[in-house]
Amino acid sequence: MESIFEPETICKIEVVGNDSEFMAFFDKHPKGILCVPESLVGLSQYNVVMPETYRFTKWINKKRKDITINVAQSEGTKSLNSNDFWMPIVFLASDVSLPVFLNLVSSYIYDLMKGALKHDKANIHLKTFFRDDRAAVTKTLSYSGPAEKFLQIAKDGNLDKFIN
Amino acid sequence: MLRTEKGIDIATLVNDKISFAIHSIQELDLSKAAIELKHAGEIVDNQINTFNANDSDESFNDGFIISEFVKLFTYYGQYLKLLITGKYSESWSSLQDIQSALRIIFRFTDMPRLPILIHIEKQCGYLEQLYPYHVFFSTGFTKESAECSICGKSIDSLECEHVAGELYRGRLAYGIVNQIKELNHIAVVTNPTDKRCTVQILDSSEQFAAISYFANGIKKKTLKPFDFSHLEFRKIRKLKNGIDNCGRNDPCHCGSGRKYKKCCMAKRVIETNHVDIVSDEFYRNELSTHGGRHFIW
Repeated sequence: MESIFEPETICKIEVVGNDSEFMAFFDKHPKGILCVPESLVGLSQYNVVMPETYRFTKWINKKRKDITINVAQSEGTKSLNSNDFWMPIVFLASDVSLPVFLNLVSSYIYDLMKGALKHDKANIHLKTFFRDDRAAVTKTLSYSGPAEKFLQIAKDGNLDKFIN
Repeated sequence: MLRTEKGIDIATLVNDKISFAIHSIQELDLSKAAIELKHAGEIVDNQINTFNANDSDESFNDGFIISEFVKLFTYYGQYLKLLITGKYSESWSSLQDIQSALRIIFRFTDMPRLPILIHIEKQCGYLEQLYPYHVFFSTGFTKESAECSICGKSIDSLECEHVAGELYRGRLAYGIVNQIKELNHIAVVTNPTDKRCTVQILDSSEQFAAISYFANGIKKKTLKPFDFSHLEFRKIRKLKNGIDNCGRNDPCHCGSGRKYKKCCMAKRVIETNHVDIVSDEFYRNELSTHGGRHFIW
């Protein structure tokens, strides 16, 4: 029987209905990544950023100086006693494609997991807003599941076989 | 494992003490091990205190790693002491201390993992399975700021340049939460950051039967600490309690009024979970081959 504590892996791409917040960013910023609070994308009534936001931002600033990353104004940072990686909700500008972003997250996770013990478990949760120019729509990629599976997705660069 | 000459110098100074402590732990002479490790810790601290501004970041970081190495074996000794004194609930936290030290050592060393560390890592994974803790408490809150352990600025801002979890001149950066904006929820989770947040269970509880069995083996010296290798889980079939003396034609013990052979005889064997604690003489085979010295670094 599947445990209620181990929900199934979610990996999906969806078209965003109301993308006004994203488009306001996308039209003004040709470059970079913006980490946004949950409230901005309608996920919460609180204007707070996800737990990994600042660590990830500083990591990008240190390791990938060629990529611009900013954090939108918020009222605080979420804190959880969870060993999962709760990545920031991000808006991607046109110079950062989805595969590039997934590779960045993958390198970040790999770096953090260097000290992990063999029996340690790690899950990743992320939500990424990006523009599909060909279809002229805004989409989100949501992933919630084991780190190993995510690293495989980023390595293969083939999202199709994982999307449910 | 170490990157600098200064680091190697400190390691050389404490190597014999750590080796002696490991040997004492193996022989369950935990007081002797604690004394040696305390001295080793003092030597490391004194050496780090002689470093100055001209010393490299790596020298400081090496000092920090050696210090964690000493702590690792100190925690290992403390863990065994709690086990053999029957403090099972407290021993869980001590087991987490060992693993925290291991994670730090693995995180900040580039060399392949040392056999003794891999062995302890493996032991910890199996030992956790002997405890009744499978779910943990997680508090979810919104913090206004968390003070950086190094610069004192908010670690959740770009004003502070330190990355949580990174090492800066022998000091670990982490956030000290001083302003909780709102407590959002308390959740039950399987994968917490800190596994010490558990339900309290009495040491005398039946739920500690497996770890208590392991502890007795250590206490009676039928199992030496570093020789513990792994657990083997299997099913065994055994007779139900209380039916051993029931004859085929006797009235069934379940009270149905029927003969035993026509009632519960077919159900007299039940399948139960069984775990074997397996030893592989790791200490004798791996550690002692180097004469008990210089196997650490």
